[in-house]
Amino acid sequence: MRNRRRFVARIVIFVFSTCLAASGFVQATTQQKLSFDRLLGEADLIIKGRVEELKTRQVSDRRPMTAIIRVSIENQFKGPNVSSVTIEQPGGAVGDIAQGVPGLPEFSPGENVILFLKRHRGGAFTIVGGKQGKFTVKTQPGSSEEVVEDFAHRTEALESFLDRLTNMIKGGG
Amino acid sequence: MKSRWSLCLLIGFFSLAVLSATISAVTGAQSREADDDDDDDVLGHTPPPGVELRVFIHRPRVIKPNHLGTCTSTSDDQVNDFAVTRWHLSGPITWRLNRSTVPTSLAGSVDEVLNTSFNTWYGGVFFQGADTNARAARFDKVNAILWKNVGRSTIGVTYAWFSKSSGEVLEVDTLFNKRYPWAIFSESPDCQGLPDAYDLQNFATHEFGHWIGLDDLYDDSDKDLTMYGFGAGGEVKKRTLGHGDTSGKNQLAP
Repeated sequence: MRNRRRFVARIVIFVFSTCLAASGFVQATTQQKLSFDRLLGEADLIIKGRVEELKTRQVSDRRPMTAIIRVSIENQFKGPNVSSVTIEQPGGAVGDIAQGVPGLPEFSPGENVILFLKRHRGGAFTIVGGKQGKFTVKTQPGSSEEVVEDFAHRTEALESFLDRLTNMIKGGG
Repeated sequence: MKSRWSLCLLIGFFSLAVLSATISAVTGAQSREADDDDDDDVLGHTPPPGVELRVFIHRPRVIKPNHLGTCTSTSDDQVNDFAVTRWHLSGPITWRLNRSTVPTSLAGSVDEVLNTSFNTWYGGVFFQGADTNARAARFDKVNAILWKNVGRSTIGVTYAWFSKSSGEVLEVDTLFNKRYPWAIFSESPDCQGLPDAYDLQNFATHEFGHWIGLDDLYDDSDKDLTMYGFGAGGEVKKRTLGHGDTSGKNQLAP
């Protein structure tokens, strides 16, 4: 009876591992350039929020690390209502060993961001289009104007960006 | 015993059902992506006429004409921009190829092309070791190069493991996306009638730039540099280094 339970447990673990592997995570180095429409269309969730916590998960010494980013939500523009999201992508650090994947966005605690997110099986989110789906909200040096900075360091006034975003969502984008 | 086999069969069917659902979802997403041809810039900046900003990544059967590469060679590689990653090479490095994953379209020339791409950065630093059977990015002391199905909008991906304190590279793996058609074009800008295929030397030179510690560039003015982060089918301009690429490699020389 005990052997049978152990056997069933092993099978269940195998099935779950297979499903997780099949779902995959976004990897990026050389990317497809996505239009704003595409970013919008591919995102299951679009939020403005704040990076609260960064962690690294490593299943074993040899497996790639997974960076886990928890973001609290201030505004939500698309998707089902949630109060915070957990984003997963390759990367992170354990002890003195770090893992980097060029093309993926980097986060720092306290950072204010607008994120275009895709939901994966298991509930975790990834950023749509690698760096393209992350916009950093900043205050312009020497003024109080808030701007949004994209992956190529181009800026746009926050108000104008949000107007454009909400209009496109209303328009069915 | 009989009940164990019944249980095994039941779980097997369940696994297959879940996997089928996963594959269907991915295929569906790819079709939707192929149907979307809009190419507005992310922050509303319209690219100047003639600038190739469109990028790759559609499976061969769904490639549309306006997704094809231009087959043009570098036109403005004098921009002196480069960006560095948090890692750098500290000495010679041995790389290994998983030959069993190499697409048949590249067989016979893959070693030569990969060595050429490495030597575009530095001579006497990259050495080819015995083949590996690595099938994924793993921190296993093997600097592996292989082909594998990766994210649908990715043409190649490089994983680097490095010391956080010194920045020294501990291991690097590069995976090229097996979903896409690969080729080795003869000479720039000759696409050999295959503008929808991805030139190995073009993308390998870019990926190996990450091995030495260079990061992607995304500004439109950097579009003709090897380290520009977007690419296209038929593209060959990343084969040769631009001014910024050379400045970066000189700064990072091990």
